[in-house]
Amino acid sequence: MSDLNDPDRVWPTGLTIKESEELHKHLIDGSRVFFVIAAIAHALVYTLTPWLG
Amino acid sequence: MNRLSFKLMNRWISLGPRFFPFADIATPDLPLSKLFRLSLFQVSVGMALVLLVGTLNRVMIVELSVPASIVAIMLALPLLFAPFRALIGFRSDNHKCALGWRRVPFIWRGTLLQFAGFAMMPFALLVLAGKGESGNLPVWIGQVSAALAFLLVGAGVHTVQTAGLALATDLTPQESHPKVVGFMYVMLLLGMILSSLIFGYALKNFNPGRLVQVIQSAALISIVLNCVAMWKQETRHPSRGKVLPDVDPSFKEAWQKFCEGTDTIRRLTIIGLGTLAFGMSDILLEPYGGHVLQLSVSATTKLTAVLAIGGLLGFAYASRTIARGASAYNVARNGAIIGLPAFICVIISAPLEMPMLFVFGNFLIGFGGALFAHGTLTATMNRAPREQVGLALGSWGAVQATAAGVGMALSGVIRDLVNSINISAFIPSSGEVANGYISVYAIEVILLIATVMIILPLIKNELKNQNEWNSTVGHHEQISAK
Repeated sequence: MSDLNDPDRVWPTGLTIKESEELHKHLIDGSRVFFVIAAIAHALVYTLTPWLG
Repeated sequence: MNRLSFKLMNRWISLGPRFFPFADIATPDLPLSKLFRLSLFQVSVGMALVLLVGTLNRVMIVELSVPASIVAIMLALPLLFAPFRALIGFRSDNHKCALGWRRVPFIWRGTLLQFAGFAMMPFALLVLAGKGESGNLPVWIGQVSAALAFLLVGAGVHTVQTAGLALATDLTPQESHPKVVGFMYVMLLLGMILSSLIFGYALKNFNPGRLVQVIQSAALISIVLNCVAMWKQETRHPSRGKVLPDVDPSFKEAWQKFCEGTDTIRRLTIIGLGTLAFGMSDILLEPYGGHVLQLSVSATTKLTAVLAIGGLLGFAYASRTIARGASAYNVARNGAIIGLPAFICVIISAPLEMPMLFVFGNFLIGFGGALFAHGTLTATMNRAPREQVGLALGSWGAVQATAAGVGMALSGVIRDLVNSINISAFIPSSGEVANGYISVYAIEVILLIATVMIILPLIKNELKNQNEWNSTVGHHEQISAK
């Protein structure tokens, strides 16, 4: 780990704002992928057994 | 950034570092427990392979009565991604991020793709088979969605394995590479054996609901295994994120530099030829036992177990000998040489009508294949330049996976082709059904001989370098003694 006196670091995690933003980006991207896949899967299930018919 | 995101981000920051997937310290060598945890990604890869090549292959044809040609195309789709492994490896070598990670983002993305593919796959397969109300809809909906699911799984598996192996190479010093390679292969094999047993048991009483349960469980298990595998493994190098982007080499430049390394192309050729030789028999062994030697179904299933035991012993033996100083090329060559009597045993077991010889041949194929695979992967890891580990392992994977897939496809085609032209008119004494199989095995023997011929110069070079090194050291010692 680079120097711990870096004033950009926020404790207790020791992450800089940029680093936490990046971590956050991975989470948001993952959620988007998850949402799209769920939408496709629901569409396919609807073609198999339509609900509210 | 909107308010919700900002709030969430502040929460991440306020959590302790305990809850982050970073490695605390870089250890000089990976302890066994950590290596074991890292190798879990291979279990998920093995599970995905068995599900695609074994379980779904059968389920689509037998239970869902999808035409065999469509099944073959769908199962070949993941292979399209194999050559891109080199690119994935290169991208991970030069990945820039503030966190200073190179491999974990790729393992994570690959895991997501694999999960996504498996999550939608059962529904796509049921629509493809025209189940439920989907029979009234155009056919392309099922085909496109099934193709998308297989492509996602393929892309995910290739990404996870490439980045995972590169991470394992990064984390370990050269002298532990034999141990790491052995571990990775054994876990892949264990993952394949375990999951084929579990899938077989779970799908005994097939119904569409069960298919959804099984494949979606596989999706969940793969995401859990991969997350456990990468948790707190890769050390962070924030300085990597600060390197100016314009010093990045292009893929072409990196590839040229990589090819300039000693014997790179020769090594990749060896991997391709040898994998093709061992891989062509993979899907033919069971039908050969059944069709030609008239073994029962349960007996041919046991053959797979014999092959796996041979493989496990081979990996254990290769790890031990290479760790004790044997050359990785030597071990790979021995593997190819053991393959020669193995395939000859298989070939002559038909005219001699000796099933035991066939079983013994299978064991040798497993053992020799394991030595070859272990030797070539260890050589790749050891000779990978530090800054091109991803590219080196990516190209290994690209050649290996493509050769295995091509071998599988070719073997079936060659067998059917030879059987259809009926060469027994030329070779009177041979049985008709056996000809197709025997010609495939004969091609494998030829490929193995070619592989051995190409390895030999590498071993010679290595010996020469070692002798020069020894004589220089000896010379220095003499001087210092004086």
